[in-house]
Amino acid sequence: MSFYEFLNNHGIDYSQEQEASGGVVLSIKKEDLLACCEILKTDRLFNYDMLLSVTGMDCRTHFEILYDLYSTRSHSRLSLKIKTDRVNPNVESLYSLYSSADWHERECFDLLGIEFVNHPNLERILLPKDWIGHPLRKDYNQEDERLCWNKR
Amino acid sequence: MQIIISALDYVYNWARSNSVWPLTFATSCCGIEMICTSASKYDIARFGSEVFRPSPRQADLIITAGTITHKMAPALVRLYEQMPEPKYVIAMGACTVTGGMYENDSYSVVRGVDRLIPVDVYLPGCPPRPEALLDAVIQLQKKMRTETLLDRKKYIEAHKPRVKMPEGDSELLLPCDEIEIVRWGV
Ligand code: SF4
Repeated sequence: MSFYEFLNNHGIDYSQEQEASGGVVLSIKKEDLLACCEILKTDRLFNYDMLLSVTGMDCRTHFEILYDLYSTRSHSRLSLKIKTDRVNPNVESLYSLYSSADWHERECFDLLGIEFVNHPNLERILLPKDWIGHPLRKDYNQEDERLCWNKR
Repeated sequence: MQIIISALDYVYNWARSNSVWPLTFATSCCGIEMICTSASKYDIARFGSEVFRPSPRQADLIITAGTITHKMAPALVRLYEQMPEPKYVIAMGACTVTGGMYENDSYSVVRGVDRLIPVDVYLPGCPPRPEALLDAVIQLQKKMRTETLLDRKKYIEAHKPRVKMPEGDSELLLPCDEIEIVRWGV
């Protein structure tokens, strides 16, 4: 059974596929993410049991989040891409499936302000606790009065 | 009196300038160069600075080797304050002199440690070679030999941190009112 047949059999709705050097990139719907990952993780054949990274991107009109999965059984990689709105961006957390999602999602929240629903401890991880704004957004401007001593 | 003090100064400065103990403080790539300086090939022990102290309470010198970010800045200022007088600072690398390649539009990097603590020797380079660090140590020794005990008060006044520690729950350093911040850049 090919991978795409497998996806179709499970009714995973992928709208775009693209072969990158490291593996396949699939665009899926935001709502399907958790269910899709659960199928991919528990399947005996493909068994994507490791989450390598969670990367957020600001595309000006929307945010994209890229999940890199790895299978320790078949040694293959898979990337899932989802889109979310720019106002009030949110997506279901993958923490219940992959515990490595914890810090990756916190980083994504810290730098882009994407809310991960059901994350156990969604706090800033890299920047100071009382930082204002999310610096990797394209429209970010540092206008914090407390940092006036650091202007060039 | 003056003569006695000068003679005392000479002995005192000679002794302490030949055993400047640095603090183990390396925050990024420049730190590797600092480690290399203390290894056998360049051997900082020739200048009496081989004892890298893990505790600020035993150190005379802090070599700020590496980028200082806003998150790290309170830790740096606290370490500096914990060092006993007389204390010296070598700002090692472009990052700690002016912010280096992060100077233009970085949101997280402090544009030079001289906005936080007073600096004695500026050592540019990205990263500076170990020979350059040795030169900075020698320059610092020269500077120490010109000091006199009579100017102690002035020295201590000039060697205060230039920012205040964060208050309450905050993690961001606050500007100090009395001391003017050095501004580099164009
Ligand atoms: S000055 Fe260059 S080598 Fe040194 S910490 Fe900065 S980027 Fe790294």
